Formats: sequence, C-alpha cells, structure tokens
Amino acid sequence: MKTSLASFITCTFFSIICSSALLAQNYTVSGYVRDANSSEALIGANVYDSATYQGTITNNYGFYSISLPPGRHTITYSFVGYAPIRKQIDLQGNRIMNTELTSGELLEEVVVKADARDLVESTQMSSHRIKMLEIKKMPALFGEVDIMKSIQKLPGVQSGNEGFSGVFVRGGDPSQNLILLDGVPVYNVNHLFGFFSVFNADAINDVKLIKGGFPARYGGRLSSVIDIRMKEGNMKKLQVEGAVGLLSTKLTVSGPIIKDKTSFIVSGRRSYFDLFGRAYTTFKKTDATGGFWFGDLSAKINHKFSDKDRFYLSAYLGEDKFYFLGDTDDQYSSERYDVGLKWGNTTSALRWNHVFSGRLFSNTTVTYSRFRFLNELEFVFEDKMSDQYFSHRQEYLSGVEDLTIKEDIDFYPNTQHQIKMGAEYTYHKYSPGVSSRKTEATDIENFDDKKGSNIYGHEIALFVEDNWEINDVFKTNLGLRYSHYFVSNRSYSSIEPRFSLRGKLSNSFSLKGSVANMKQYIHLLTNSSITLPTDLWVPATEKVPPQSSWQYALGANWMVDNTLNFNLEGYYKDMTNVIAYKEGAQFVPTDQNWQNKIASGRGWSYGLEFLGEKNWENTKLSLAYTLSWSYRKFDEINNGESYPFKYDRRHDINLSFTHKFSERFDVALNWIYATGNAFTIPFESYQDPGDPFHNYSYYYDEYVTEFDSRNNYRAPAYHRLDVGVNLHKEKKWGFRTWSFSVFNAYGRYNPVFMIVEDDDSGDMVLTQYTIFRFVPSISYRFRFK
Amino acid sequence: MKNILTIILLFALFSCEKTIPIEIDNVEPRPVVNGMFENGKPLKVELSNSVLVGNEGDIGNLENIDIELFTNDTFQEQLIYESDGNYYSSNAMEAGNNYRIEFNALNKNISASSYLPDSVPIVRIDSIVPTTISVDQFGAIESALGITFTFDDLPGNHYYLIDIAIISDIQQTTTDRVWLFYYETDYMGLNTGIGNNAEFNVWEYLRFPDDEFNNSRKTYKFGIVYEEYDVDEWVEQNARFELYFYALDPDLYLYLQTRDVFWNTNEDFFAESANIHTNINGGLGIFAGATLVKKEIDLLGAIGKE
Repeated sequence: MKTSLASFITCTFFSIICSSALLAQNYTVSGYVRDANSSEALIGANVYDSATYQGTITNNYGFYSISLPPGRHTITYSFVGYAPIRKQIDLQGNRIMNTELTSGELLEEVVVKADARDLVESTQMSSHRIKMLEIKKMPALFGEVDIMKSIQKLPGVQSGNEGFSGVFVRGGDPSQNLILLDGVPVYNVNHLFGFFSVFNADAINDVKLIKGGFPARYGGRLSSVIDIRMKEGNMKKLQVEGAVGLLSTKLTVSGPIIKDKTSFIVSGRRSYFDLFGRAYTTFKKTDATGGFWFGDLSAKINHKFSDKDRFYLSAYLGEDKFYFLGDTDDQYSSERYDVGLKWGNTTSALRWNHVFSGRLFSNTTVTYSRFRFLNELEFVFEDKMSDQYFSHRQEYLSGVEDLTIKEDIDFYPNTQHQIKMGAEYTYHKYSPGVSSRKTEATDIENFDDKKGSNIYGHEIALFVEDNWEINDVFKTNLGLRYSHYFVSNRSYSSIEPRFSLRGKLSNSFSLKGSVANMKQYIHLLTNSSITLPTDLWVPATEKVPPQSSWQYALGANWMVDNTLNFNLEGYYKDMTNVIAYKEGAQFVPTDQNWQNKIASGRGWSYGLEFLGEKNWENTKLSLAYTLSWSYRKFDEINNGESYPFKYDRRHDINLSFTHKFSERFDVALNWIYATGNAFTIPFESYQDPGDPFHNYSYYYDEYVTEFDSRNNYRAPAYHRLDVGVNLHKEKKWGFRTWSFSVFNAYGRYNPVFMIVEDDDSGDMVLTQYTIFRFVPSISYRFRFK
Repeated sequence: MKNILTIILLFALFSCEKTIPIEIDNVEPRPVVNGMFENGKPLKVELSNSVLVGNEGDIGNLENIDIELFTNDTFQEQLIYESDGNYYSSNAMEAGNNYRIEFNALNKNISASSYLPDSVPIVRIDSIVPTTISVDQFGAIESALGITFTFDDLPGNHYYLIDIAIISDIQQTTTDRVWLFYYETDYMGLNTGIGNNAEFNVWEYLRFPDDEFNNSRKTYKFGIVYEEYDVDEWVEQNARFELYFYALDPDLYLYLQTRDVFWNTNEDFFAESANIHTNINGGLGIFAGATLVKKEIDLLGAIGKE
C-alpha cells in the first residue's frame, strides 16, 4: 500500500510539473455560471470550446476554469433546462467570463444533449443528477414532493418499505449513505418515521447521487453519496413561492438584501396533523390530548465581497414531535402526565469561497451537525385527602453531534488536469442512550440516577484527486484518501485508493470503469425495515470494528442522438464488518449493551443497471432497470450460513412518462415493479417443550414456531402505478399549479411487512399488512411574480 | 371547503391498513422431543409432531414409538410408553454420564445426545445480608437479601442455574416463589443474552456461564427481594429454604436462553425473529439434562424472623 501511495504521489507530482511547462502557452478562461433570473449557481454546467474540443463542468459553487491556447474560440455554456449560450472570444490573456443562462425557453434536444454529453464525457460513473424541475411534475404520495423518494426510482437504488424514505444503494443499507446538505452530513433524513424526508424541495438547488467510482473528496460511508445543495437566494428580486398539501404547507422567500451582492433564502414547512387532534380534543372536552407534528426551517445568506470572495452562511433546523398530555383534578386527587418524543437535525455551515486565480479555487468550511432524539416522561400524583404525593420524571437522550473544519482546493493547471485536494477534521460526540430518572414521593426514599455517558471521537481525512485527460480517448480520475479515526483509546487509519477510467470511443459513446475502497467508522443500529428516531449512531469499537468496502464497476454510455441515450453498468461490491441484529434482538434500545445485540460480518452484492431516456418535444419516457443480488454472512446469525439481504431484489423497474399537452396542462405516469422483499417467516409450529425450572408454567400449552433460515420467504412482487396531473395558470399576481395525483392507482395490495400471528380463532396465520392502496392527493403550488 | 372535506374523507377511506391471509406451502411434520432430565430421576420423554403454521389442531402425541436409550454409547434400555406421548426409563439418570436416544418416527430417524454434567458441590454459604434494592423503572426501593456462596468450577465450559426452593407445610401458597436478582453482573447480559422486556428486573431463577472463572473457585453473589407479607406467610407456614444449584448441559442452557428470547420477541415487529435452540437431529425440541445439588439456607434467620 505504501508503494502504491508513493507511486500515486510521484505520478501526480510529475504530471503537475509537466503541465506547468505548458502553462506559458495557454491562457485561462474562468468564472461562474449562474441562473440569469436569480443568480443561483448552476452546478455541473457544461463549458465547451468547439475549437479545441475541450470542456469542463462547473463545481459545486458554479465555478469553472479552462485552459486554452491563444486565438479565437467559441465557448458554449449549457445546462439542463437552460438555453445554451455561445461566446466568441479572441484569447490573448487570462480571462474571467461570468455567464448567466436563462431557463425555460429552450429546445428539448439541447436539454438532452447537455445532460447526455456529460455522461459520455465525464470520468465519473455510477452517478445521477436529480432534476428538480422534473421531480415536481411527478406524482407524489400525499402530494409531498420528496427528493429521497425520487432517488429511490434510480437504477441501483432500492426503496426499502413502501412509503418510507430509506435508500438502499447497491446492496448497502441506509447507514452507508453519506447524505450532505451544503456539505454538512445529515444523520437522520426522515420526518414522520420515514414517510417523508427532511429536505424541502423548494429550497434545494441541486441533488447528485454517486453510487460507485467515488472521488477521493468523499469518504466515511460505504455505499453512496447524496450531495444536496441548497439554493443561495435570488440576487435579482424578491421571490415568494409555496405549496399547500394535504399534510403540510411550505413557504419559501428569497431575494436580495443588496442587489447583486447579498441574497437570502428562508424556507419553512410544517405539518398539521396535530391541529386536527387538538380540534378533536377541544370538541370532545377530554382530559387528555395528544398530537404529532413535524416542521423544518432552512435559511441561507450569501454575500459576494468581490469577484474573488464569497461568503455563505446556511442553517437547517428540523424537528418531529409527538406529545401526549393529561390532567385530572378533583376534590380527592390531582394527576398530571406529560409524555413527549421529539427528534430532529440541526445543521449549519459557514463557507468562504476564494478565487486565488483563474486556476486556483479554494473553499473553506466550518460545519456543525446534530441529530438528537429525546424521550421525556413526567407523572405527578397528589392525594388531597392524605397529603401524599408521587412524582416521577425520566429522560432518554440519544444522538450524535459533529463539528467539522474543512479546506478543499480546486487547482486547474491546464486543460488536461483538474486537481482537487483537501483536508478535514471532525469532532464527533455520540450519545448512545443517556437516561436519567428522578422519583420523589412521601413515605419512600427519593431516587435520582443517571445512566450512560457520551463517547467522543476525532476523525481526520486528507485527500487528493486528479481528473486527468490523458488524450482524446482516455480520461482518468486518480485519487487517494487517508483517514484516521480515534475513539475511546482506540485508533484506526486507512488509505483508500480511488480510480476511474473513461474510454471515449466516439463523441457519443464511452466505456467506463472504476475501483473504489471506502471506510466507515460509524454504525447505525437500525432494524433495516423502517427508520426509527431511536436508531442509534455509534462509533466503531474493538468488538464492532469499522466497515470497509471495495467496489468495482464497469459501464457504457451511449448518446444515440440528441433525444435518446442509454447507460448500462455492472458492479460488484464486497463489504466487511457490516453489522446486523442478532436473532431475537430488539430494535428499540433498552440498555447500553448495544454491542451484545450486534453481529459483525460480511456482505456482498452485484448486479446490472440500465437507464434509457427518450425525449420528444413535449414528451419524455425513461426506463430504469436493475438486476441485482445482495447477501450477508455472519458467524452468529443463521448458523453462520449466508442469506439474502432483506432488500435483495432480483428485479427493479421504474418506468416514467411525462407529457405536456399545453403550457397549462401536463400529466405524469410512473410505474414501479420490484421483486418482493425477503422476510423471515416461520412456517413450522410445534408444542413448546416449556421450562422445567419455572414454577409458574406460563407459556405452557402454547405453540412455538421455527424458520429454516433468515429471510427465507419472498413476499409477493411489489408494483403500482402513480398518476399525476398538473394544471398551471398564470395569474395577475404570479403562477399557480394545482397538482392532482393518485398513488397506487390500481389499488394493488403491496406488502409492507408480514408476520405469523394468531388470528381471532387462535390459529396461527401468515398475514400481510398493506398500508397504501389508492391514495388520492391534491396540492396547490404558487409563485409570486 | 366542501371539496376539501370530501378529499380528506377519500384519503381516510383509502389509506387504511389491510390484513390479508396468504397461502403457504405444506411443511413436512417432524418429531418434537421434550426430554429435559435431572440426576437422580428417571428420564421422561414426551413426543409430539410439528405442523405447518396455522394447523396447530393437528399437533398430536406420537404413541408407541420404540425409543432406545444409550448410556455412554452402550444400549441401556427401551423406554416404556405410558400414555399421552410420554415415555419413561426404568433407571434414574446419573451425573457424569453421556446419554443418547434413538428412534424412528414420522419416517425420520431421530437421535439426540446429552452429557449430564458432573455434580458441582456448594463449598459453603458465605453470607446472607439484609439490604435494599431498586428493581423497577420508577426506582421504588424493595427489601432484599444479598446471598453469597462459594463453589469450585470444573474445567471446560459450564453453565449454572440457581433457584431458591421453599419447603413448607403448605405447598401451594401465594408466596411459593422467591424472586431473585442478579447482583454481580448486568442481568441483561446474563439472563437472556440480548434484550428483555421484564418490567421488574427480578427472576424466578438465575442463569450464568463460567466464562470469567473457568476451572477456579468462585464466590457468587445474588439477591432475593421480598415483601413483609411474604415473610409473615413464611413464618406462619414454618417454611425452610434450599438453594438449588444446577449444572446445565450447554444445550439446555442454550435452549433456555433462546426460548426466553423467543417469547420476549415473538410477534414483535420491532425485533428480529428467533428460533429456539434444538439438539434433536432430524427433529425439534430438546434432549438435555441438569445436575442438581442442594444446600439449606436460613433466610428467615437473616431477616430476624426465626
């Protein structure tokens, strides 16, 4: 490993030196590409010189840099959903060219070409960019447009249980996804136990999913990177938009504080289940009331000090809360109880972008991320006749907290090389179940205790990667990441090599391959069926070591013409030290001994993924298909034999169709098919032999059940059709859209979970639970002019 | 407004939960052995059959089966069938012997073996000390006794079970059980290994392995909790107490552990499914033994109620 590290560094060093020799012959064209209406950064926009056939894409802040020889050039700027711009220049020195693209008035073929060209040209494989404009057209459960559910429809991504936001990428589990909001890791991405994600689509500018061929700048998770970038705020004018749905309402306000210099965006969302609950209890005049709500608020300020310096301050605050209150009071006694569960994320990022020169871009970031789950219970009783009282209060807190400082640099020595390098340090604080209890009462001894303690960890990472265009055919991304983790007097370190290669056989066809080694120092204790707020993030320990993976992928991209493109990929992923609950373990944490519940073992997955997209003038058709296998093997589970992962699905199909009948009316259809989930179902039943040491013979004359292996039963296939209709209209005040949708339009009974249980007559039966059948929804979106 | 209410009503109607019975393939029935035994007592084996889930009415006794009992690999006898699927040996089981049963039932050749552990005598009762303990989630304080005793662990993996037996003039009373609790180590880690739903952290008996004191002298501490009315009744009944100390066959220990886990997590959506451990080749159930030694302990004396 040391040899390969040395080779890599030497190779990178010499390539930089060699390219530096060419610098004198070239000039740099650099700048930002932004939206003409709002000045939002366009991330991943194409910048292409037709004279030299060289191009690049903008980074996460809309910045680009391209080195070109002196002379005349025609530079084309293009981005999906935007009309391209061509600029002719006579290059006689370094140039800064900031460019603004206009959305909306565009030819569809240009849209496709810009998107598909990037797929053919880029070294990055196994990657998808989510188009925010498109997902808002698609039908959504309860009318809530959800980014995570849109990601579930991509090839290589599985959705877990119906209705939940869990994302399973290439045989991995949700804990193996690095989900970044403006570069800040978000630990729990779910509202309402996973039915909705915490990301408000109205505040999001760009979403990118990477499933393999990970660049070295990403690390810390095995299976995917979901890089979500918030909008920066409209620099030109005040903009207000929002939506009213069946379950929640959201509002987004953005605009300039100082025109073309400082902008802000504030976006909020709140559900209203609890309002119905409160209305009911008020109407019924009950002594108790309860409710549930979730909400989130995101905000960002962006200030341009100069063409070279920009500051961003962003924050996100999200919370779910369940509460139950009761109060009774009469002449004899009074009683009050208060039960509350609340959980949520808080993230913030302070960022400074500095352009040292057209070739050197720096990004300095300080981020904070916290996920916290708190369970509070309070009970007070007073006997007015005897003056006796009893009060009890208990709290259970779990969560994780990160503070990170990061410096990353983009260096563009010439057109052949784009070098990214950086360093980051993260201070982790884990609270894997800290509980306290306090009891005070007359006649008994007062009681006050606290269990559990925080665990502190330190993580350091260094990375360097070079996106190197070797010649017209071959382009490679060579990367290396070094990470070191220190927790509870234990330390781990690893060197993670990354390699991607693109072979462009023609302007419309390329082959790609990648190898990536990933390391993950934290584990999520979760049941993998649904995401609970009680899921615990815990650090790697001596007993439960860090997870590691090697992923190999091969793929082909074919842009048949301007309207049709295909992507085909195959992968193999080998994971070590993945974790799973042992047989009989309960998911809800009851004590500090989580390590006793966990087995550590191996997982592997492989498969083929296909994505085809065809665009006509007003119509789009896309087909995503995944053929995959995923297995797990643990010494302490299933008698040490391998077994299929819960989301081992042979086939996943997603067929999407959208058609715009007119500017005022469009429809969207989405059909999903998936092989049934694997469940552990006991098929055999017998008389319980009992326990001869128990005096009380409970459970005697009961039946017990037996399964032959874990995940031994394949549920019926899952499929459904979602239908959406959008009615748009321009009003005097702005634009409005009524969206009508039906989730599971043909009312399929899809299994969410299956268990063997007693029926009403006492016989044991296998039952399937279905939650969503034919769910109609309506939402109203508006945007002021 | 009327339209919105209609939509909410539609939503409520169509998103409700549905339960659907599902057809499953047939399962070939297997013999189920209930054969837990103790030193000094004859072997009793109960035979029944397993069924496909949902057909529990078809579970029945397996009658008139020829069950052969081998002691230390030597044929000893054929078990005597009595009734209701129950078979008995004519001789008592002895510690230190290896037992095996073989039979054919439901067209399956079945075998199972168990080593009845050597006797592990209690060297002494070291102390019985009055104390208090909090055993429920509210931290309520209970009267308790801390009991310490010493034994010599044997080489190899051993598993133990301790219980307190009440010997009284009246056998069936409301207080015929002494509730025990773990003192030395985390009850979660010992009693069921993983997870436990017990509202109160007291147990009918305690189990523990010898992982941390293999082949050495061990002084073990555990506790019992009691209420004043228990004590009054014990005094009234002239009760005496014996510490029952069992050495368990590893298969029996595993069976008891996994059975607890099974019942703690059965039909629990928030738990992984669990099987109960079996050592029956070709079948289900358990054939394993425990070796008991007893020692009288003066609990009432320790409470001051002699």
